[in-house]
Amino acid sequence: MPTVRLHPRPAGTSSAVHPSSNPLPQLLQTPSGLAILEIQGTINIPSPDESSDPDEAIIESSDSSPSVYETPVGKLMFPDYSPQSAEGDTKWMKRVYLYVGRYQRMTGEVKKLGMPLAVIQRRRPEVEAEEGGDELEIVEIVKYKLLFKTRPEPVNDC
Amino acid sequence: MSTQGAPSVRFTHTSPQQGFKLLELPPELLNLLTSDDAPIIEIKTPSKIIQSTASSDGREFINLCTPSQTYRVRQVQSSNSIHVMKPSEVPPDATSLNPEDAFVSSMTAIAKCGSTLELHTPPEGFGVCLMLQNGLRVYDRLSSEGPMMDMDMDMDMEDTSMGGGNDINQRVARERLFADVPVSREQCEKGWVDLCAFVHGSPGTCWRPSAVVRLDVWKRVMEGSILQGIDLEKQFLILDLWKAVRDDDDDDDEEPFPRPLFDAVIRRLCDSETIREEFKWASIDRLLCIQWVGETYLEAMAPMATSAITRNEFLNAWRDHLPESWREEVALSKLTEGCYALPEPTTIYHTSETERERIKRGIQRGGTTAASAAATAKTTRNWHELFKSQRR
Repeated sequence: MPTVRLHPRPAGTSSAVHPSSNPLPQLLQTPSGLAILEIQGTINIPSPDESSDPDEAIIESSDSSPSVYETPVGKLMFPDYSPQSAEGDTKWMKRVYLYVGRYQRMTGEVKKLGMPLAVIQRRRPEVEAEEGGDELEIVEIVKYKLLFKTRPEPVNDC
Repeated sequence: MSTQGAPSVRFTHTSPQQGFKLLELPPELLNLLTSDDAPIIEIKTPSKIIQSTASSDGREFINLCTPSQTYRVRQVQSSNSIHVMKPSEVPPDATSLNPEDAFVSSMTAIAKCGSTLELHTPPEGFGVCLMLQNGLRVYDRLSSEGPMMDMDMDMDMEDTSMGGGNDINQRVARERLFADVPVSREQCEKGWVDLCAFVHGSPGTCWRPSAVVRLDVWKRVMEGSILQGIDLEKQFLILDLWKAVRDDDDDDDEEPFPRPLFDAVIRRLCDSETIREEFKWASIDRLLCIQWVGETYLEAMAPMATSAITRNEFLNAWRDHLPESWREEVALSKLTEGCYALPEPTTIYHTSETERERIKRGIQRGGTTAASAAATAKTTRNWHELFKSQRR
């Protein structure tokens, strides 16, 4: 049967990330913690086999399988944001920094998406109660994105 | 500028990456998906048979179907990298790289998407009836041709009893067909009713009656109703009407046509709200019926340009196929626009669904000048021109 079922996001997901562990400004937080970051260009990440290079900083994820690891890229900063700012205040959205390494910085902004994006993933096998075949699931609906459309500029370490 | 005190979030990249797709949600779909009882959405691709007619250019496509609506899915490539990120599970102090950095926490990119999925509704529609038609066998046996036992397929006489098991059998056959038609359930069901489609036979075959058969059924219904004094416009028991139709035959055991066919025609002619209690009571919608009878007659008698009939002949025959009190309402303007063509000043014929679909598509192309844009795009080397037609 050429039909694939797409399940809606379950109401009150149990996998919801505790809000305090989400470091993003309130506006960008979603129940699952997922967010979208768009860059004009690409972030070059060394391929897995290269990353065995001892110079490469590899942080083993503590609670997942050892094959999952994180490569530091840089940091995100919201220079005009303060958690105390009023809810309707959107000025902070105009400026976001993405540092790549320590000496390159991209300036971007928080943009409201014209149409919200559903983040879709193949359903995990254990949830798949029905008979075989592909089952998809909307894991999150994201309304804002971080957009970096300028070239990186050199900066001093900050 | 000072960035002191501003929230700073460490940003990392997780390997291996996960697979995600991003789907743009139009407002109605967003409302549906964020409602409390969000339904399961179906992503349908047409089966091979249906595909051949579904898209004029024979291209493959995917449709996204809510219970009532259908969208065509279009994959739009992006030159930007779109990363999906989530809060990292690694404790913030796990790195010894920059011990002086007081990171609050970190976000990590877990997926990269090179494209997003956009939804749109083709202005010319999806051609539901045309797609459904391909999955249905044409039923063209007239009541005058006697019982259908001698039909070349094994039809059970038991079928005519609306037994429970048979009911399930029917539903299964219908479901199987709907699964192959890449539009929403509501649109499938509407198309099914519009075509007077029905399930009949022991393996559960889905049929659509030919125009001649539909007209034949209607004639019997009308005759029966007059004979038994059933006012079709007022609420009547469907079983009474069925009996009236059957009583016409001397032999009580013989049915002029399968009961499901009779039901399908009645359903087609009823305002869906008047069907009560699981198809027990019904009343026929006068305007709907006048229109349907006219169109069915025209389709039966003049299905193509070469068999065009004169308009007067058509209008008279149309009146003759209606109850006495409805005769005055017959007029060409009652027919669906575009369902007929007037090849000469005095003649008329019924345009086929395929023909109409083609005209509709042609008009849309011409209207939006998409066709001409595509044509110029082929001859130009200007990138803006080249991709203009593909953008919204």
